[in-house]
Amino acid sequence: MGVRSKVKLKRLTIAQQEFGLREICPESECDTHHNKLQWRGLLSPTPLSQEYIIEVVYKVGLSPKIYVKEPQLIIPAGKKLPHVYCQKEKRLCLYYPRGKSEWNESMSLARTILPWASEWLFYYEIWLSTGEWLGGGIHDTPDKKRAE
Amino acid sequence: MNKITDRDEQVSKLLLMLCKELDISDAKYREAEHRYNAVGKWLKRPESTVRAYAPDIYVQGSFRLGTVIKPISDEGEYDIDSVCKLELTTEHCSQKDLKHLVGDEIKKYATAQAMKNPADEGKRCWTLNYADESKFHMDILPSIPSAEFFKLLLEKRAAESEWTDDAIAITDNTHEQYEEKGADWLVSNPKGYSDWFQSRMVVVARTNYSTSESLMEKYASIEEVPAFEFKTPLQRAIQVLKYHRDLKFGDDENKPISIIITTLAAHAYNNESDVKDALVGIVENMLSHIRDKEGICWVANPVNPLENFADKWPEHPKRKEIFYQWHAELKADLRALIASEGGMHNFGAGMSKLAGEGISETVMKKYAQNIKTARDNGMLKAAKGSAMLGAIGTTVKSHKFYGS
Repeated sequence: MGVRSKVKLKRLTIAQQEFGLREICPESECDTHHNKLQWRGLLSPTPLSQEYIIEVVYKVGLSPKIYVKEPQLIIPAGKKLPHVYCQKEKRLCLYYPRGKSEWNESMSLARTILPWASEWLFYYEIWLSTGEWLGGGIHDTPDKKRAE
Repeated sequence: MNKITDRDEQVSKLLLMLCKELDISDAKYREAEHRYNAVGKWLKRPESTVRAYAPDIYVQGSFRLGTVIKPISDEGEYDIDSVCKLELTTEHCSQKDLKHLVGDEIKKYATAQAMKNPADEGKRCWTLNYADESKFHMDILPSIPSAEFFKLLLEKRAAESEWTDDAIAITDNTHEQYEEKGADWLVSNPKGYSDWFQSRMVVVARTNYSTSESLMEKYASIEEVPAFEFKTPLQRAIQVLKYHRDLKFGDDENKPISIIITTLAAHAYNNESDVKDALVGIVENMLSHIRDKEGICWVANPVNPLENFADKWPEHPKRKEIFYQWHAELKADLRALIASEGGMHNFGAGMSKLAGEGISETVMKKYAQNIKTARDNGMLKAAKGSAMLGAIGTTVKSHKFYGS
């Protein structure tokens, strides 16, 4: 043969994504339709951490959306939750969305989004305690990106 | 995975991290050693007026026991307690004679070292103030050997002690026979106390020594190891107790004294190898070692049954009151911390109650940094069940949190 072909990323199906999610969190609920899944499960980053209900909404062709449903996240007076798309909806920003390197449709949500959400919850509780976000990450401000 | 044992492990780990923040560095212990050894060398120099009496300088107190705590404030200082023993007898020497014999040489030392402050005279000691970045004060306690006299004293009062060999007689410039030769002096036994203290943690000390390559390399036998190197849960628990006492009652002249805290804790300690277990056991049981003798509270010196560390309580009833108040707060703060619920931030609040906000924040940050470093190194995993972060499960892939 001798010709190297470009590897094409193969998109995981909804069924495959659901299977992965249930594997990591056996006690979870998942609604699937033709091209979309809506998953809810309980995450807790450490034994001392609270347990949080996380919702993952994934529609083929779009970025997955991750929400913290319960309990209500605490937002100290005068502060904003770090690394969320929307303060009100508690939609988490878990990866750099441009390009396909951090997350793309060939990746299992269970092995990317769920661990990252667990991490977010861990650093969130540390942030409540110390006032500092210690999980790293980047901000996107209008004219420049600031690395933390 | 058993959530209860996992939680216990995490609490133990965080408590140990907290204890480590209260400790002083090994370098600080060695610096202290260097200081009193230097004074010892001075006392043995050819021109020394005490050289003929075989001067022996050794450390006592928390530097000897390995229970020194970091000062609460940045301006806080370290107190090194040392003993200066000369081979003299009470027949030939009054307390005043000894005090000034040693004092003269200490004053010369302060001058020779170009110290900003001259040596201070206290009731029983001389104090050197090292006005440098080390922030040390050193108390030097002049003394003479007194094993025989001490044994006789015990016999007379039908009392017993296993630790008498290192008993010393000390001076007190408010003593009524301060200037008389042939008088009865006060006795003390800091070496004996330290031996007793080490006997209370011997099992863990032995384990810590025999499982440490670096300790075994440095010290040929366990007898040579200075106490601060063992870092047993007893020592760490005492540091927590003293720090808590300083936080809550630091400025109060009636605050619980360290010798009482240390003695009761050592009695209550059962060679637990885990710091959490040691703290709980000590806090729950230490009060039961306060004896009642005809209505008077007794915390007997374990190496001198005739001495009561709580002897000031009858004339200063506030001291007894504050002691029990402190203990009640300690017990409540520790119980609340261990039973903490509702997230790591609540555990952090519990640590603040026990050891202050600064220490709590440092521990939380270090803990978070450990998790971040593990992820950056590809070592962090999320477990099946609830994506618990640790050493088991699917590797947490590299990513950057985003957004505003």
